[in-house]
Amino acid sequence: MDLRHLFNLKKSAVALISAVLILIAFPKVFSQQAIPVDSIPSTEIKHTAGGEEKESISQTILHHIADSHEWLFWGHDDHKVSLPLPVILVTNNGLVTFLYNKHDKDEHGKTVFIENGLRFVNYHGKFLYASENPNEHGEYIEFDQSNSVVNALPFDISITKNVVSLFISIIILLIVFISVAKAYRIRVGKAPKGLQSVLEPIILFVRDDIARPQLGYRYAAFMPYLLTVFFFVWLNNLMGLIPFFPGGANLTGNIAVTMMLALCTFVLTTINGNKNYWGHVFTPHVPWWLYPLMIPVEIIGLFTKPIALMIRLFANITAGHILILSLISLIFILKNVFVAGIAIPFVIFISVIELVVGFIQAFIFTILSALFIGMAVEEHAEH
Amino acid sequence: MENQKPENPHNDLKDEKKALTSYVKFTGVAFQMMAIIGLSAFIGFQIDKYYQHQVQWVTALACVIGVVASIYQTIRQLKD
Repeated sequence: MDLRHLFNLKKSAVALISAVLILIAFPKVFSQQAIPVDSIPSTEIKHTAGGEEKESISQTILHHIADSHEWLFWGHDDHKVSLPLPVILVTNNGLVTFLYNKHDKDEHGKTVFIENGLRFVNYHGKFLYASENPNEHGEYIEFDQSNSVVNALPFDISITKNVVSLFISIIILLIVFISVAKAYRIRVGKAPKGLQSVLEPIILFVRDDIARPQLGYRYAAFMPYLLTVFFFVWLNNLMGLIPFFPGGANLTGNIAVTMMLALCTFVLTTINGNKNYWGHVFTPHVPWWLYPLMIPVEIIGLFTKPIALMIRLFANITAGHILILSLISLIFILKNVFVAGIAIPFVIFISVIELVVGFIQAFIFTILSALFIGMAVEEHAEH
Repeated sequence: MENQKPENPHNDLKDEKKALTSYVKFTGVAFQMMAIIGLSAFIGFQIDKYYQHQVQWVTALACVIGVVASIYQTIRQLKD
C-alpha cells in the first residue's frame, strides 16, 4: 500500500500545523478544564504537590536509564509485570544468590531479611548490609553528615538488566557473524547473498573509510577489533532505542561499559606504541628545562584520550534517552492529554534522530579508536 | 585563488575524507580539555586532602596547570 500521498496532502499539513499552533496558543484553556473548582483556593498545597510530582518524574527518568535487578515490562509497585533477574552478592560468608522478586516488596530499606546468616536491606534496588537499629524514618540505613549512606556494600556481581542485554547482543552478533562467515566459506568467489549482502558494504565501509585512512598498510591487524567495536556499539545503541523487552536497557549509556570499551583502545595503543609515540611522551619537543612540567602533562594526555572516548559515548546515548523520556513526561507534568499532540510527534522525531546518532556514535568511537592506534604505530612524526 | 588545482573528483573525495577525520578528531577536543582539567584538579585535591592543607593551594595550582596543559594539548593536536 502506498501511503505517500498522505504526506503530500497540503490540507493535512495545514491542519496539523494549525492544531499545534492552537495548542501552543491556548494551553491554559485546556489545562483549566482539568482542574476541579474546589482545588483552586489551596494554591500553596497544589504548588508543593506539583514540585513533588516533578521530582518523582525526574526520579522515574533516572530510574529508567539506570541499571536494575529486574526487567520491568509495565506497571509499578504491586501491579508491575517484570522479569526478575538473579542477584549474586559476594560476601564474607560466601556467595549469596536469590531472584530479585524474593526481596522486592520493600525498596526503602525498612525490612531486614537474612540470607546466609547475614542481614541485608533493599535500598532503592541496591542491596546493603543492614544497620543494627532503624533510623528515625524506620530505615535500617545510616547516613553521615553529608547525607550519604555509610552502610557497607557486598560485592555485587549480579546478572543485571544491562548484563542480560549485553548477553543478548553478543548472542545476536555471534549468530549473525558466524552465519555470514560461513556463507563466505561456502560461496567462495560468488556474489554475496542474504545477510551477507547487507553486512558486506558496512564491513567494507569500516575497512575503507575508518581503518585504512588512519592505519595505512597495518590496518589488517586491527580490523577484528575495529569491526567488533563498531558492530557492538551500533547494535547496542539501536537496542537501547527499542522501548520493550529485548531492548531499552541503555547499555552504551552506562559509563562502566563505555569505560571498558575505551580501556580496550587504551590497552591497544599502549601495547602497540612504537618508539616515536613514547618519544613524544618522554622527550617532548620543548626546551629541556620544561621537561618536569611537560612530561606529566604528556602522561596525563595519554589518559585523557580514552576518557574523552568514554564520556562522549556515555553522554550522547544517555542524553538521547533522557530527552525522549522527558518529552513523554511532559504529558504528565502538564497533566493534559492534549500535550500528547505535540509531545508524541516530537518523540518520534527525536527517536529517528537517535537512530542516526546511534550509527554516528558507533562510527565516531571506531574512527577515534583507529586514529589513536594510528598515532601510536605511526613510523615517523610529521614536524 | 590563482593556484587553484584543476577539478579532480578523486582528489575531492580524499579531501572530504580528510576533512571528516579532522572534524571527528576535533569534536573530542572539548571532552579532552575537560578530562585534563578534571584529572589534574582531582590529583591536586587528593594531595591537599592527604597533607591536610588549610588553604587548598595544590588544588588551585593543579587547576591552573591543567588549563595550560589542555591548551598545549589542543595546539599540539592542531599541529599534527
